[in-house]
Amino acid sequence: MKTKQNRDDQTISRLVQSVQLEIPSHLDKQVDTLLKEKKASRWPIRPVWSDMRRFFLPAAALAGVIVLLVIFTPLSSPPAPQKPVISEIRTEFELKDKNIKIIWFQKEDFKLRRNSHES
Amino acid sequence: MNMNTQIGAKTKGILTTHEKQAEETGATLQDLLQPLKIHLYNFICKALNFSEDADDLFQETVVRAVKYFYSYKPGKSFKTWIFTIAHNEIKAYYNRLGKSQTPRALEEVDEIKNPGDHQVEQQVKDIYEIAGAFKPRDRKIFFLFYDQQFSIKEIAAITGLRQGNIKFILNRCREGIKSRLGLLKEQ
Repeated sequence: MKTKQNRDDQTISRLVQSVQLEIPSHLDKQVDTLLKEKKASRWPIRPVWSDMRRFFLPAAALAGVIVLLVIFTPLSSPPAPQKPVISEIRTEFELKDKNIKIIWFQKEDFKLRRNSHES
Repeated sequence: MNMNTQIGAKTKGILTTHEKQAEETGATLQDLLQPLKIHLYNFICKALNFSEDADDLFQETVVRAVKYFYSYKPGKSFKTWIFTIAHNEIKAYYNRLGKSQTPRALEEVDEIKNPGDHQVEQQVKDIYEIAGAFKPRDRKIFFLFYDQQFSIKEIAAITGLRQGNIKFILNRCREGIKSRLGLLKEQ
């Protein structure tokens, strides 16, 4: 079946290829002139724009990100670092012989006064 | 009109000897195109059913090749590349033309003559008549395969069709010729 098909293909090819036209001389000259004028080299330089196009989208995206950063970044100076505040005082006692551990927590709302009896 | 039975160089997805030489020597488009010009012209003529517009389309193909030569990747088959341009030009031509176009019969082209005996001559004429009645797309594939000796894979690359579709179209063309001529049974 395959051989028959190949034989058919060869026959058709032979018949089809028996007709070969020649390029009209005036057309051939026109084409040659065109090729010579253009002087298309083997490794021509790509148009600058085709290279630039590749970088256009990333560059636009980067510019957008920079603009957004500028807009949303607060212009005022950064807040001064807060002074450390005592929020908790922890006192521990441990009576080892009795296996007792006592822990005091002094929270923020528990105001510390040095001389409370004076006030 | 000169009759030439020389079979076009088979590329089969690899570079032809000429293309390899051109690759090594850094040849120009003109050097690469020179040996293919005749094949390209014949393909366009036959795909256009020997229309007078074939000359313009051939020239337009060369102009496009010059314009887009930078996109040709060295190491790839130049023949496939240039025939892809020709294929696109023919496709655009038929799109412009619409369905109003009528295939031109071979008899109208007086300059085409066939060598050999009368029977072969008649068979050639018949085949070209049948091919002239094919759809433009089928005709292109038919001539790419049978005239220009491209492989199915290369035709797929040129036309953008799937290999299965190309095989189907070629089979339909083959069967059409067989059924209408019966010439293949006689061979």
